[in-house]
Amino acid sequence: MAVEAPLRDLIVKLEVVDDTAASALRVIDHFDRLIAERASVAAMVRAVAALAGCPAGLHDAGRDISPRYDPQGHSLPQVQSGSWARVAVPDRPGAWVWLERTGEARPLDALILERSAKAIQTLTGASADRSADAAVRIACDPDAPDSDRCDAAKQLGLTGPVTVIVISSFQPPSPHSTRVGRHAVTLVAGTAVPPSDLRAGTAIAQEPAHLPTALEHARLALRLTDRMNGPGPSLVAYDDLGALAVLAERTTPQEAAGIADVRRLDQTLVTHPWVIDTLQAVLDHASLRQAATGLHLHHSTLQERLVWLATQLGYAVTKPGGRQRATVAVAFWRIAHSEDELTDDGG
Amino acid sequence: MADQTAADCFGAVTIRPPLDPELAPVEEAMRAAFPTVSEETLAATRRLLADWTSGPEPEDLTAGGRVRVEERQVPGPEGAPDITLLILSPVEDRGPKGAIFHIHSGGMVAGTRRTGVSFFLPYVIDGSAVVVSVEYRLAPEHPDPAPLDDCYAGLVWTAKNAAELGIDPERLLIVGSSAGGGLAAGTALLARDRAFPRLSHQVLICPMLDDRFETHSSRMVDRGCGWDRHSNLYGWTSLLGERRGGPEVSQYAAPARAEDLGGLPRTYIDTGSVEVFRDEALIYAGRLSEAGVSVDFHLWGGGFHGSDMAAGHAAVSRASNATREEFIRRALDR
Repeated sequence: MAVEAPLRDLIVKLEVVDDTAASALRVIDHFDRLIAERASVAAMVRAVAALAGCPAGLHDAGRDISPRYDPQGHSLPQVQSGSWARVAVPDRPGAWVWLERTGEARPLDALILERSAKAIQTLTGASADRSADAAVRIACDPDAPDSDRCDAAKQLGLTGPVTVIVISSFQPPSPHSTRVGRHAVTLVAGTAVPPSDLRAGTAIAQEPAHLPTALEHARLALRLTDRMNGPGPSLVAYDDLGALAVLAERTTPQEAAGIADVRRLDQTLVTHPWVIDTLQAVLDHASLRQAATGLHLHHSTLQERLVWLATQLGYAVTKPGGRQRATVAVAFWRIAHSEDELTDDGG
Repeated sequence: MADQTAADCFGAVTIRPPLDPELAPVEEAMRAAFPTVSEETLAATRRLLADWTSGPEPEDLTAGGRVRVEERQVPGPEGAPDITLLILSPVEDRGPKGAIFHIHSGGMVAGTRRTGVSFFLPYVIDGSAVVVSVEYRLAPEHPDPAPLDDCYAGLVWTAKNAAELGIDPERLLIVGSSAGGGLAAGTALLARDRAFPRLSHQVLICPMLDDRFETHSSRMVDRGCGWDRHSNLYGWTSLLGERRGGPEVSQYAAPARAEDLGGLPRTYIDTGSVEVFRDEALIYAGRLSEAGVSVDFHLWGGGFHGSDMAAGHAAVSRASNATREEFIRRALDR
């Protein structure tokens, strides 16, 4: 509700009526006292934003947290810290504090960042998290400094090509996976083929430095998977997608859900839950007879379904143009629903 | 009685709860920046408070042209000079608005009509209220009842000119923090007893209600925490002189003394657990409730006097401010 940020006023006024040395002392005292009070890391980030008078954030890849606040203490959505002025948290690979100062830096900016980084180090324990989970997160973090990512990969024993396997975090994670954001990630040395009883997206990093890109690719591949034991593939490799990858890259789930052909599929699904499975089977098999077998359906039942579908969709999947349109529509439908809670008995 | 020291009247400092960890460094900075208020530091305190609301980058009460800022000289109490009202109204008129009659803080001895008023600007910006902030005469130059009479005169003028101000008289809120909260409570008692105007709500933010220093919390802060017992003694003595703590103090000057709290408007009271006004706020809220008034009362653990405003970024301040804002929004609802 406050229109102004009075704590910043306290500092600004000190800069003016006092001198910068006194203001600097005030900043140092502020973080020292937060440490003495054992304040939370979130409180530390709020203090950075309030003292600086601009948004501030902490990214800690190892612990998978990215609190970000405006000067009034409102929580802001996570973003990458990009080119903002940042200071690394000492002895914490993949962790840094940043200030979103537009225009010229203020005299106390550097000090605020430096003291807050030290304070966060003190508050988060005597030594860095050297666990494998932390190393996986740092190695895959697109925003982390190269040196931190290389060190993390080395710690994991990764030197050559690495296969990145991503599953939705709604699924039970394997003991070897690490939660990164909303996904569970497993890194396997070499070009491994993961077990088929997984719903996963995979991608290969030719060297550990490319892990962040490979993780992004594996996430895109995950968007195009079918459920386990469905007619479509539950395991999708990014390299096999080719042009299809561009669909997932360029289209958000929200955008995909708005496409008319996707909306029509969703409408038919309300009353006919077999629609996507049926289309996928027809698209994946050379003949309708094979598709019917795959679906455990009588050939004539499949025919009836397709006639009905053609009236609902406005095109026939058995015709050449319709087949292409259905292929694209189903791919977009998977993208649209890729952020739904994925379960193994549903879409 | 006026030259009594705080230790004479209060005895030992009582135990107090800890500050919220996030507020502690702000309390420390405030303690360094603001002296305990006394005869010696009064001039400096007044300057500090005035600087706070104006320079070095003066605040823009027009909110980039969305708010009309006016100052009006209106009749003061009988036989007293005119008073100045700061009036903030939305430029874009969307029908009748609620009114927020604002009484500023400053321990009865400092502050101006602009002190803290920007806190209520959002309701003007979005077109739901007109804010009227009164410049009342300050103690010790103008002791009781001058400050209270000025507040009441400003409220009467506001209610009588509701139509011109675009105010719906059914939604007339009185708000104040600290000394302003005490004056708001006193003005509400006066309005009740003089049967005009009819207030719909009183919002008392960490209010200064009791001159007697009998509660536990009134004795527990010796220095800092936004307002200590020495500053508080100075503020009350400036307002009441020799009468402070004695039998001659009116219920309007120190609303904690009012015996009948029936018929008062719908009330919001909040306070921090680490401030001298904690217990008087708590007791006033309980007694209002017993008198049949509908009360929202919030005691924020770890908060010090004024921490909502001085440390608005802290999580506990955000909770407190959001809760109060929701109440005011409901009060302004058509």
